[in-house]
Amino acid sequence: MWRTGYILNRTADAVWFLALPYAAIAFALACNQWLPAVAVASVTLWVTIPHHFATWVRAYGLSDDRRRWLGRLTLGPILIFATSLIAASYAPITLILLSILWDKQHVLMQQHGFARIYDYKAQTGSKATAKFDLALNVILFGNLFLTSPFFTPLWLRELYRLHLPLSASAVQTIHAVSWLVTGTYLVIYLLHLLWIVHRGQRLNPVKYLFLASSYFLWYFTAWHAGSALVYAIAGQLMHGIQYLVIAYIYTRRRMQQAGDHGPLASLLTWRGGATVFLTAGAFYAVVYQLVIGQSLAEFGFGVVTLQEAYPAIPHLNIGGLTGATAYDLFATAVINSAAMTHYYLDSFIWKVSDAKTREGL
Amino acid sequence: MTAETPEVRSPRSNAWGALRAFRFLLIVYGIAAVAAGWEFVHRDELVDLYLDPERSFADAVGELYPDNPGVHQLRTRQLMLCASLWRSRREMPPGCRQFGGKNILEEARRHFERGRQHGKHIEDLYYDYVQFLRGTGAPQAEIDQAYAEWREKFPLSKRPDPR
Repeated sequence: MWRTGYILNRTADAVWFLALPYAAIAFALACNQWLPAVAVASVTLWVTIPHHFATWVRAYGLSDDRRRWLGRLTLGPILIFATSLIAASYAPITLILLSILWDKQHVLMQQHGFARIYDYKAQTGSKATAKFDLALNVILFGNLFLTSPFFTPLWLRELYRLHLPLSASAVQTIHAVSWLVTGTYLVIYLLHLLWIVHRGQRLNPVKYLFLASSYFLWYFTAWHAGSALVYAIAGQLMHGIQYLVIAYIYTRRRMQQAGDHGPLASLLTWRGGATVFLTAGAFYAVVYQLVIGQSLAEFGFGVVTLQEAYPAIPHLNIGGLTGATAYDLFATAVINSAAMTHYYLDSFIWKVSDAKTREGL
Repeated sequence: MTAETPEVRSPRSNAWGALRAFRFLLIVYGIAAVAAGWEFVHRDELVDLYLDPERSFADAVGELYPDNPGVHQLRTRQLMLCASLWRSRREMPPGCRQFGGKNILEEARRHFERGRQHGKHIEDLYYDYVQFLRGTGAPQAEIDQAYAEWREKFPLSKRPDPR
């Protein structure tokens, strides 16, 4: 009945795909308890923005894929940036709604994709399982979106803003129908699994543990209605970290298989490739934050802020540090740090007393 | 046609092949275009999420989740609008009439307090509270304490000093 297969290997899957959702929930609850709301922005900067960077590396880093998808890789981003700029002027609510809904479709498709990899690796399920799995993910996530206390006010507000107001009783009807559809489909899915076993085919238990962990995270945090922080942080951690892991492993493996010796491949395929990949992602996040004009203090989970270090002194008529002056102070610190690093390195790299140094002179 | 004969594709099939590559994007933007068209047609009609006499978003979501911190925030906005109408002696919409005069402020304070117990991520509950205290003539020490709480929870906020 069972045949086990892993995306990476037994230990790595246990860490990144099975335990990570629970660790993400624990981290999110801790953030909610002890950190200010800026913790969400910090997780976005440390995880979500670097995971975008991982997409660029994955999509544009492999020469074979660049040739295969040339049109989509060039015209797609141009079209998306152009339409977003136009929509920001003429249909901003649609732009927000599109971004929210596409994000949800994207995260559920990532979990669906991992589920497909599990069946592929273990050679489990039937030909129809892909469609049954897709429907399972769409219905479970759709139900979460339609019925949870976290998402309901969100889509309801946008409907009101689009002049499509719904009464509370109409929303309750939507909730009831959604739960009915979900319950019915879960029975159908169970029958599909029984049918597979009846035909002598196998099931991969790790796939179902993975799906259960993922949906536990989403359902638990979306009903943890007291705080939007918990859903946002836990969801971003699971989605972003799992994506970073698969993007790095896949890109490196493809580069090794293709015998790629380009500059990117040489950085990613050596022993310290993972560190380079993560450091480049963090650097990308810093540049991104500077381009959109936001504070680099958001990296610090609200714990380290220059503004707070220099509060106002009312009896001397001195105001607190503004965002702009705090940035000036930060820039001064960066310039000084670079200079002091130069002083420190020069203190030992030019010693004529060093034999190796003398060889180069 | 034998296996060796190269397939000759018509310009129409080439165009369709190019479009097929973008079919996902076309579906996404096709749906978005309908929503954008709807939004553009209704762009001049203002939506009052708080005090619409027919259907208010704050009332609908308040009925669904009365203890949600986000709902307490919506209620505080709703009540502060009511208070502003009451002070300027303008006609009160049905949503405000259930509260008389000073009751509005007491009700608003109750929602601020309950919302702030669990809604530490909702900046409006902290920022608006400082303004609320200032507007209701609260002691300066209480205003300063509320201000300090807002700055502590939202240290990177770019909003101006609400005092």
